[in-house]
Amino acid sequence: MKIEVLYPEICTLFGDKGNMKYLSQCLPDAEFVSTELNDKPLFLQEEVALVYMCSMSEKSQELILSRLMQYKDEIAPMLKEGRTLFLFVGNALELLGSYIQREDGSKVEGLGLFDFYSVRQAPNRFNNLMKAKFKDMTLIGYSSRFSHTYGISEDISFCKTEIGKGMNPDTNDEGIYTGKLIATYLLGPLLIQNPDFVHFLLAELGWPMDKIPYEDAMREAYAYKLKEFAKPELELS
Amino acid sequence: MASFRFHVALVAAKLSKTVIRLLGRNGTHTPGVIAQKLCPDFLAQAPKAPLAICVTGTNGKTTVSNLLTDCLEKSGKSVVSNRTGSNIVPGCMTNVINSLNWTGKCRVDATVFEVDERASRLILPYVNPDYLVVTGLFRDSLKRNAHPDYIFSVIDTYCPDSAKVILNADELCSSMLKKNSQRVFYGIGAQPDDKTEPYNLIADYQLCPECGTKLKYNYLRYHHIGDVVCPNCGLHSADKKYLATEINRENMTLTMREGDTETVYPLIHTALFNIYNEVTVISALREIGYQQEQVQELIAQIHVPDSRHNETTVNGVTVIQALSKGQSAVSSSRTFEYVANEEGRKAVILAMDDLSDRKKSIEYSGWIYDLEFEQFNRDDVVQVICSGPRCYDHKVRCLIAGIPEEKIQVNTSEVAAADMVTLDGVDRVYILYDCENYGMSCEMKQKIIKRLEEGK
Ligand SMILES: [Zn+2]
Repeated sequence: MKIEVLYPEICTLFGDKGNMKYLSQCLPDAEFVSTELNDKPLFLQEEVALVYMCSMSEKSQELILSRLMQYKDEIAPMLKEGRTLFLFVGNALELLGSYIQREDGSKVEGLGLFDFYSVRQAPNRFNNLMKAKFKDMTLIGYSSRFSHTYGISEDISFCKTEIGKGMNPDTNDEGIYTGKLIATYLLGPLLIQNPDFVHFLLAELGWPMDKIPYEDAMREAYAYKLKEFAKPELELS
Repeated sequence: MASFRFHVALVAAKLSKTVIRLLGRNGTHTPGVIAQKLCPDFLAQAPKAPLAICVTGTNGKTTVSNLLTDCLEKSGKSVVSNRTGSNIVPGCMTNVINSLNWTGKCRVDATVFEVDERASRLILPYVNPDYLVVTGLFRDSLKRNAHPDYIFSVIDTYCPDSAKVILNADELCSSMLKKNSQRVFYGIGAQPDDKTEPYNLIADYQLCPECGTKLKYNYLRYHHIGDVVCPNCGLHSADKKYLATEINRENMTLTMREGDTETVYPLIHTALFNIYNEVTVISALREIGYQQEQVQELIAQIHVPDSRHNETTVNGVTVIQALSKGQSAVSSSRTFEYVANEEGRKAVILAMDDLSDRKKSIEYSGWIYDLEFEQFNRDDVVQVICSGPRCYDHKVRCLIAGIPEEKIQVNTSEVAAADMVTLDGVDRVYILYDCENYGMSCEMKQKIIKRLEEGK
């Protein structure tokens, strides 16, 4: 099984490396391939089980779009075909929309695979603790960003926040889940913090496991954090 | 001409300082707050000292601005700096207030400002420094600083073009600052133990800023600090006007090359990050106009305070408090490496959880996946105690780093965790604490020392 990590030199900004390190311990026989900025993504050339891309700076978003734009017609059917699982974490999801609006009002064209758009608002940083429902599981995590995203229809949203905001301050809908694409603003150790989600992901990859590595310790951490979400007047930022 | 409002604000701020001092406190924050309330453009209106220097960057700015202040003072200049105050707006305002007399005239030869890199947008345009010294940019707190690209854009946008910038050529991000200003570069040339491939968890700026090709390192120290060249387009690290060529830790000397001249300076500390700080200070002093001989004399008189380490030995076991900044994976990884490589069998207590987040929020624990726990996966680290509200997250991190479960302990209370340290067959016990947890780290240390004294 091949797992492709897109542009790790510039896209593992907020501890995101932990997810892949953990996944490589779950799947010791999987081959992890790192794709560099100037290379054509592997998933466009051969069968890849999982494509992972995570948080980056705003400058890096524009850099990556400048390289990926030439492949947008090839990428579109991949997202629909459903052979490859895509996991986009943090602001990686913004690349998939129609545009990203900069602070000065100018726009960066996105891959246009969806109709949504994102709006940057630096220096205002949006920090947001999240507790959200995905299927029958409760996900916990954190988002920290300069931008919000608008125009994702409810039927393709990934999860619904119970605590914290979703794609923008006016919605509880968070992320995208359609076909085999999962994209979410939740960043950092998304997998490690959510053992149930690891089980889900491994099953999607065709490798369901009865017990995942360090599951007891992960569940202990998860349970403790879940309790902390009940703090009175919890500060989300 | 400063406005009437400015003078009112100045007098009020100075009065408040006098009152605060009478109450036995420092008065490094409130005078600045008062001045800003009464006169929002106070900084812009304040007369400048004949020499104004700002120092910013992710790590090292406190040390560099303190050493620079010491040197300027020892050279006979009257200097004010914000060394006892904050490095954000009120601290810098208070610094300006201290540089003025009651009538609003500058009373000092020089002002030195340590400037928080994120707050620099509110400070640099108004302080309008003659020199901006940048130590380098790294990842820091995600919540506050976002990422180095953002901090770069803040400094690049808000530092006035008139300032001469003194930059670290070995740090690619900040060395690209202020391309249209007068710039000079410093660095440390190739050293025997350098590497050429990135080996840290955090290794940013590996791609050519011009063409995106993976850069080659002529030498690499840690993270992305080193000298690069792009194999595709030829872009390379800036040429260093001030280049450290030889570090001699035995004789405690540092040789610097400027053009064709080599000068030997006293080495003030052996740790690489402090050598960078010294090279920065020497470069700044030279740019300001001090002759090499003068700089040699000044450097010989200064010291790096070792306040970050505090050790006590009882019955053969040494207990050490070492600062390990929370949410700051680069500096804490370097602390981890240093601790791991110390001699003897070590027990480590982690007390890096945020003090305020624990009360009303839940601290973001993603940063620990940028932090090199792998350093502690070695035989002579016999115990890792994760303490504080994030202890369960830290335990998972330890496991993923390969540390055997039997070596890991958890306790949500840092102070209670001190009782869990094994003292049998341990040579050194490290308490790695975040700045805000200094008080509790002292309590932890006391408990451990008491146990050692009682022979438990
Ligand atoms: Zn290049």
